[in-house]
Amino acid sequence: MARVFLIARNVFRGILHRRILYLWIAAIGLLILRSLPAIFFNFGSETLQTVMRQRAVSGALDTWSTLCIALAIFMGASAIGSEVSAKTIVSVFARPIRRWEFLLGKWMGIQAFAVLSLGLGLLVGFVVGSYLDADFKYNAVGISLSQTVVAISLYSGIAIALSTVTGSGVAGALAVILAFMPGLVTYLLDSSNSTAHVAGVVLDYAVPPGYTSHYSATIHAPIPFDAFGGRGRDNRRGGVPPFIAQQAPEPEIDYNAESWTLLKNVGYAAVFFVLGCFILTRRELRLA
Amino acid sequence: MTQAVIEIDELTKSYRRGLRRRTVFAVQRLSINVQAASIVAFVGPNGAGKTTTIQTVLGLLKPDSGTVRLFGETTHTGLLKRVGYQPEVFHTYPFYTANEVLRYYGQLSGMSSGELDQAIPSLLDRMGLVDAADRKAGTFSKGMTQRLGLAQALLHDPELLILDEPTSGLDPEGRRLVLEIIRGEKARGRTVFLSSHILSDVERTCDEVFMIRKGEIVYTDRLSNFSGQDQQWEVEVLGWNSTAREALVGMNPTFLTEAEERAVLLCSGELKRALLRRLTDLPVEIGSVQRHRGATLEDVYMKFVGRG
Repeated sequence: MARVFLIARNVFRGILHRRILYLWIAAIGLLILRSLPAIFFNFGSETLQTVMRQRAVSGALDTWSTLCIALAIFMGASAIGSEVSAKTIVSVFARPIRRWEFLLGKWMGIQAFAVLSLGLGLLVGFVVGSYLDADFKYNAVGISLSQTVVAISLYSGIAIALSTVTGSGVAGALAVILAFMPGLVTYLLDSSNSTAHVAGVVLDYAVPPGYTSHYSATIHAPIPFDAFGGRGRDNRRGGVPPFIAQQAPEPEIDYNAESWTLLKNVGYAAVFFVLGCFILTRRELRLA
Repeated sequence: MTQAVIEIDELTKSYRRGLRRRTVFAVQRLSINVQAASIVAFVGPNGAGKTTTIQTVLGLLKPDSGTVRLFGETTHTGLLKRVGYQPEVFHTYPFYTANEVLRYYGQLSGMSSGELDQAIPSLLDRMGLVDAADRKAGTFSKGMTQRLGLAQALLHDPELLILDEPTSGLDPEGRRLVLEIIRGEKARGRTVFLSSHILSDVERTCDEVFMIRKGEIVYTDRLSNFSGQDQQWEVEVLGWNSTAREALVGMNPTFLTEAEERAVLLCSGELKRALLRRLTDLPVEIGSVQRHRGATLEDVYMKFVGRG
């Protein structure tokens, strides 16, 4: 295992060297942009403004988590490709290191970095949320965090596995497509067309359940419609601004179903990763 | 009989190139045996199949047919602990310092921290990289990178060193240093298998040479058969006659030329002294004494490999 940790540490150093921090800064900029209306707009009600700010925090957590998953896919897809193109892989594989150790080290390093990024984002979210007196629902926080960590694991594992058979760009693109596939699978499964339905059933086995965000449920911040004279969501008489009326109600989470999805995702991650190890072990290391 | 460290038997390796996936043979029916405690050179032009052969020995490439054995076993990951490899151009992580590069590769080879603490400073000193120990490898010159590459190959004290063009890109001082290290490793009982374009280096350093052309071995010989190793001398004798011939019978010199009034004798350095002493007592004149220039490695290379 010492070699695995060594490779993981090397990945970590490499990521920092590749100035991934610039990506972080860009992501933070994006979050600030996203939260600008809630931070600066005066909604005519102190209570409403606080609620909107609290909701902006949960929204920012959602965006940040998605960015961490995207970062993991990007790093996973380039894990092998970057070593091959830099030709550093030759001196590594000329050592007594097994290919699966190398791949596992890469996977661990990427996950560590992505989870650390996620952790830092959550920490900032908590600090800001606490400052705004947000009422965090810790069950929802727990399941959301687990979903994100597993998604990081799953999609970085898929990207790494794909990068053993194809270039970084294709591996990344395929991993992203796979991340969007669950929606298509559901659509096909629900289809009345029998061919589409069969395709859906087949794809249901091949495609992991994927990531569902529940960050909108992490902070209890119901819209105070009383502030608009008790008109509920009705904005016809000009009381409730349309974009507030369109705010989604707080979702309910089926924790049992989500736990099962988590487990399935972990299983798929393991299968994809083992497949990647198998391919890399058999693959020749041909450099241009 | 000494053990063969590398045994390559009838190795064939091909690639598919281009849109039509045309088969190109990088190596064809290549057989090589490298004995322990020897320096063996693998010589050939670019694209002859040297690196392909080396990478197959290391298990990075898989042969189409034929066998490759290291230390008597089919190549597997565990055996690589006994091998040090320096690629033709050493590419490493630019964010590591020289110290960290060696520590990283050493740990991958299974060395402990204590062993690395001992080995790294002395190796950096040997390579003339002490002053650059804490400099990022990305800032190194080509020559420094090559020396760092050799250092990582030597780090875990391997029994077999595989060096791909170890002196390319080095200045004369660096080249000399590398050749001294290679000879030193042989003196310590290590085996060195190196590929090179620089024939003078090969002639000065190696015990045996394999010449490869278009993936096939076209010539193999021991370097001691070339002029650079056991120096022979040519002694020109004027006024040559039968008396002189009879006087030299017991010494058995080789006659390069024997004509009336003139003969050119070929002899070793030891025989040369005795021969000259004997000739001064005879009624003949010594015309000249010069080093014999036999076929050089370059001559052989041009003959077997050099032709298009």
